[in-house]
Amino acid sequence: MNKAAIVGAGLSKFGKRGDVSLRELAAEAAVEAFKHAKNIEPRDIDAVFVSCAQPERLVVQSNVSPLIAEYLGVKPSRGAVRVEAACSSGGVALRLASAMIAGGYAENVLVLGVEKMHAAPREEVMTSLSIVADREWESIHGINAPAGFALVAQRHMHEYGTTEEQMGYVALKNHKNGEMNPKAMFRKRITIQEYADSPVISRPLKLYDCSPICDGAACVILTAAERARRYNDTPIIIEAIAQSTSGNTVSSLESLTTWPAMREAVSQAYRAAGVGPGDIDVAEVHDCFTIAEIVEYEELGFCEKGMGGRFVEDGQSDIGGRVAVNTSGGLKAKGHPIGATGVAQAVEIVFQLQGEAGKRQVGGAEIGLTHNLGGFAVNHVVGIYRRAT
Amino acid sequence: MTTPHIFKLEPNPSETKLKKFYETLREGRLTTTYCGKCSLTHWPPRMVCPNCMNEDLNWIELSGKGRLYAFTEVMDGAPLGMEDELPYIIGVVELDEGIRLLARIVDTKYGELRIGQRVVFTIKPRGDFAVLSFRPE
Ligand SMILES: CC(C)(COP(=O)(O)OP(=O)(O)OC[C@H]1O[C@@H](n2cnc3c(N)ncnc32)[C@H](O)[C@@H]1OP(=O)(O)O)[C@@H](O)C(=O)NCCC(=O)NCCS
Ligand SMILES: [Zn+2]
Repeated sequence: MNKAAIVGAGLSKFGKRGDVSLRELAAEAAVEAFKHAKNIEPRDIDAVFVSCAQPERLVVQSNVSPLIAEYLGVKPSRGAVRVEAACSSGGVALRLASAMIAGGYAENVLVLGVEKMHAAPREEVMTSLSIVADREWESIHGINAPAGFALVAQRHMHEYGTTEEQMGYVALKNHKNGEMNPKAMFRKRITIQEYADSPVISRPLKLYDCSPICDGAACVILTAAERARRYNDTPIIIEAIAQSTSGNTVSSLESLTTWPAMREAVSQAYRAAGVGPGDIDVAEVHDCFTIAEIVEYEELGFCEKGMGGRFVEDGQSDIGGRVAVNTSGGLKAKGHPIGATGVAQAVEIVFQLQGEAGKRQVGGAEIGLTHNLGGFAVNHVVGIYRRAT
Repeated sequence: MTTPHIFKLEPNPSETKLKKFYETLREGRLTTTYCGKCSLTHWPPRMVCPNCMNEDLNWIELSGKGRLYAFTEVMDGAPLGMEDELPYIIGVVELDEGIRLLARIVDTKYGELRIGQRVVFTIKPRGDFAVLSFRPE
């Protein structure tokens, strides 16, 4: 099978971007990705995947993939398509793009994740996030993402003795990393006291447990691994990218704290890449809420089940720890523009494996991992990346 | 204030084949579908058994009794039309039949609830819609 390689990666500035439209935000990331690559221009792209979760509601625009392709001057002879899988849209787009290359359906694929969340009225945004759950059976109760993960947090605390303070350490670490990322929405450290004093959003989760509403875009350019050196001196090979899905409602989950669909995607990815959790140097995982990152350490095999809180408290996921997690600042501090997130995770891994991550560089990073989650922890995409040798 | 509200979150009972569910819910009864072929109780109720594709399903009444599996009090971020209900409690209830479902937890305070405590089914009106809820037994 033809592996895909990333030859260009770019990110817009994340944050409250009242100064740009959706397509302009997309272009910021795309231009950076083309500059990061060499010998490749928009006219060389033959397929486009745009991951964008809710443009109809958030910016009142459909068919955004051809729209963005046109704006970038790309005429994709093998097609343009939008991917929607809630918060995991970006990971899914990346996987489908890799499959296009592996199957020989396209040569050079542009994967662009974008979301503009601040333009719509706040209550529209909250409704949009709520209907990711099952509208008829769950959203009508007023469930939103913080409430869904508050249930996970309560169960994890109940079953394994995880503490609010341990969740706070995830926020502290990711804010500390975000301070070193010029593209991050929040570039300030927080203290455990500020964490504890932040307003309650959905008990026990507080403001500093939550990823923010955010505008942003991320872009990667993929090509077949064997052609990759033409376009980048240090291509990053996608060794494996796997996706697994359970149902959609909480009724479909066996447990709130053990995620079989994630385990499935994780084991498929490790097997295909021929690596295990001990081989991962740097990981971007889906910390939409601090508790999610704790569960993910466990499901990725970075630590034993139930020990995720201890793992972060002991600094094992710090830069310099056993595996550096969310060096970009994660969703928590870098920001979580829904459709952009899964692509932005890959962008950070590319910079880390190329040694271009600046102050937040993980020394000698060779193997990277991304984990992107959608819905009530029902959809999971796991990618494994390695610098071409 | 005019909000750009396209539709309500509450389903229209006349635009679903689950009309019977909503009628009985309004009477204060919790029902669902049951597949006789595979002896399977569904949640949510549906028109086709996800296990065997049987379309000839029976309506059954659930006990409405169970235990609180998890709960949270929502302080912020309510979807459109529910802002006035803040703060409210959402819980996952494990019915004695083994089904787990999401519902509002009412007639109580967050601080008085415990994981594993017994709860019973009740309804709370929201306009002409009955919200599936549970309260401490
Ligand atoms: C938690 C939440 C409700 C807060 O939103 P909000 O109250 O509208 O926030 P505001 O925009 O009014 O910001 C208030 C202040 O808090 C800050 N802030 C907002 N969200 C923040 C966050 N998640 N973390 C830290 N600070 C945050 C803002 O920068 C602002 O600071 P300032 O007063 O110094 O400028 C919102 O961020 C949210 O819904 N997050 C979850 C998003 C989500 O569900 N995503 C999908 C996940 S799967
Ligand atoms: Zn059946």
